[in-house]
Amino acid sequence: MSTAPRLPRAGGATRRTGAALLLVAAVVASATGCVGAADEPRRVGEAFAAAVAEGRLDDACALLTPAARDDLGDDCAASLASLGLDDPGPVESVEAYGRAALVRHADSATFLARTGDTWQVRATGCSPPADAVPADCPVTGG
Amino acid sequence: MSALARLADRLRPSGLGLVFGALFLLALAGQSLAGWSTFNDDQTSARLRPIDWLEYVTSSSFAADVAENWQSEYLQFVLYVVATVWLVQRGSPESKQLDQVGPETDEQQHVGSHAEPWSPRGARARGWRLWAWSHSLGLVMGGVFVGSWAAQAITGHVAYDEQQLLDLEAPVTLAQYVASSDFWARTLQNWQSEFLAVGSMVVLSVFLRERGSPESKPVGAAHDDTGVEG
Repeated sequence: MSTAPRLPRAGGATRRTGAALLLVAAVVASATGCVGAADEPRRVGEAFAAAVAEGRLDDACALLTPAARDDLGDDCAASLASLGLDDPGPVESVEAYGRAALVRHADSATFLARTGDTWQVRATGCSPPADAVPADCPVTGG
Repeated sequence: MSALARLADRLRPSGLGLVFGALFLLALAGQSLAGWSTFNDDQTSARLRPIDWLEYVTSSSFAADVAENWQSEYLQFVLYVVATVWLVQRGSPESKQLDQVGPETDEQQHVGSHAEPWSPRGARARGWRLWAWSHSLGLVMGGVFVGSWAAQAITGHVAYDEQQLLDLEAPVTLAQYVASSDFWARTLQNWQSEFLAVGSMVVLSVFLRERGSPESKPVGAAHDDTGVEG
């Protein structure tokens, strides 16, 4: 014959439920990559835009992904200069999802990727992107 | 009796839960390792640095893959738990007797004034507490379904937009993602397989047997015996 089971005390159950909810919230927050994720892409996007605007093209090249640098050939700075990238102006918005980010300027966009712990520029000087229509970018790679 | 035999004796009454819990953890670990390897293959071919395992298992793409399977499994069980209150199948051990459709009487369910001394405290409660206890299995399974479907939507949205950006396309909002073909393709491809598995289990168990399994009728039971477990 069964005996009445001991029920957990309400306080303990509440604490456990609260801890479980916190854990789930932390995992979802981490998995959505939404905790402060846009700060670093914004900093890199602004640094790249400033380097282009001020003609510091070696500095701009240092912020590109290896694939984007390779796409520009042996002399990255000279290739960037030949493309005649306009000063993109101030950053208007930044969206980061996982290991990819989009930095929008008034008339152009820059795509970033995270490699290791750093964000780098993988495509720049792009037309504003649309759904199902890839942006047209003079510099792209990776 | 050796220590090992004593341990086995203590674990045996919980064998089903322990074995499936262990299988779950092993499969989840295997999924994480295989998914991590695939993710890093993509990183390497894009000439980006590989990520470590911990970063992968906290990524949106891994969470979306896990959540989309969880939600469909819990949906399957919550539908089955609730549907079998009202729907029957002649000859199936998964079904109640054909004339027992519905939530049954308090006497049959041992609740309220019909609660037995060994009944859980919830069975002796009144009002909403009795209602909640009476539906606790469906509520918890349904809650996990809703929670994991929401997690699939949130993490799937991030994973989708991550891929949009890698393809140099514009990200979409969460509402646009939930209305997108990607979200519903991921959802429905799981639902159809769960419904097929449940439906085929109900029907095949009318005509087929697994000796000794409570999910089957006894081997010698007639095909039209209903609600008999072996």
